[in-house]
Amino acid sequence: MSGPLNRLLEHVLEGEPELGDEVDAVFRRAAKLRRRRTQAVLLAGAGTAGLIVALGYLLTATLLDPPPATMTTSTAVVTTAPSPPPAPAPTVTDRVLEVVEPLIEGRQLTVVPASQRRGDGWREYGIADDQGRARGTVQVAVFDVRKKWCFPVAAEPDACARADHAGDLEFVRYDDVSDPDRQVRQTLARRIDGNRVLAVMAAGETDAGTQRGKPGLTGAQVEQVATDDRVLAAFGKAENCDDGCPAFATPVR
Amino acid sequence: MSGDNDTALREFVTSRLPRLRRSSFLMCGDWRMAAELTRATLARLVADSRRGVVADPDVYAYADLMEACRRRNRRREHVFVASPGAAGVEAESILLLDALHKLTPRCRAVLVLRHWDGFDADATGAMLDLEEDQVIAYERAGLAALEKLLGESEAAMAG
Repeated sequence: MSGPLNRLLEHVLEGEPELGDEVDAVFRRAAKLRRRRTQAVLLAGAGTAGLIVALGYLLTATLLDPPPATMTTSTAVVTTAPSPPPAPAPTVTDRVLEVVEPLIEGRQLTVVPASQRRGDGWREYGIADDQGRARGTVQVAVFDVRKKWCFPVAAEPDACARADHAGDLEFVRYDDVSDPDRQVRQTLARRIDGNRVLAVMAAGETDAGTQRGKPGLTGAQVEQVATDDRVLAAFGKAENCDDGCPAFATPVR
Repeated sequence: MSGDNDTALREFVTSRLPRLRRSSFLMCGDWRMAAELTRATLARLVADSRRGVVADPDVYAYADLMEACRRRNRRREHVFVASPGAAGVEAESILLLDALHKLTPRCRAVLVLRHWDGFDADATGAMLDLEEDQVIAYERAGLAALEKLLGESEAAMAG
């Protein structure tokens, strides 16, 4: 049937359209195909390069990790996974301490870091001398008071003390070093017509004798701390010495 | 054929394009699709020849075209689609195309390559990735089926 089939197929092709510019169209299409392939190669190259970089990074990061610590004992080998480096302790800037500490250090004393305590509206710092002996504490607290509050007088509970002024602050010093075993220097300060009172008290080490029982700050220094704007500003507006509040020699309320 | 020789490539395309397009038409029954498939095949041939990866351009072109027709034929809905503006074809031609398209694509490709393009069984096998024996078997089965189909069609028309 080969001969007849060939002739039959010729008839089928009788309506064949003109070729036109088919040859040019082929070459145009070939050029387009080449461009597409070039782009695909470039994209694949970029993708491969990116993959290599990513893998390299991962590999490097893995290899640079510290090896697991290995401890050999007589009975077993204990391997512990590498622990992450200890997170640095959150640095809380104590702006009260920033005022207090230079004054303490100026007296050849130090604030004992482990002794620092704080609570809502109050801070307490233990003081030590250069030999590490305790030299009492410095306590700073802020109190919310009524508008009609006045500076107390220790001897007369219903009386009001006359305040000194420093800028827009008024303050009263309550120093009592008459008892060598319990020497206290305290200042209360508040903004004029304000309703917050700042109490600063430097208490010497009790029962340590006249010399060692001296407070860590002089009366002038306690006053300086109490009238330093930075100290009152160091407390949050919502802070109010309440729960756990230190006992001041001259109570605010 | 070197990939650098654009003149040789153009000569090859110019000489093969009409015949490839006809083979493509016999495979798909649509002149527009045949032209599109042929253009795509020859464009790939040109691009790959320039890269120097074409050993035998005839085998490459026909193998690529037959594969493209086989894939495209899956969506085929018509036996025959004339070219735009062309006169219709005779009823016998439609019957022949219809019979061709009732064959399996591989069987049809063997008949087109062997009986229209005139390739021997070895070259046809190379183009369709078949052994020579398989080509002969497909050809024999295809011719028998075609003869039977045409006989049935002619009988139906006469009746």
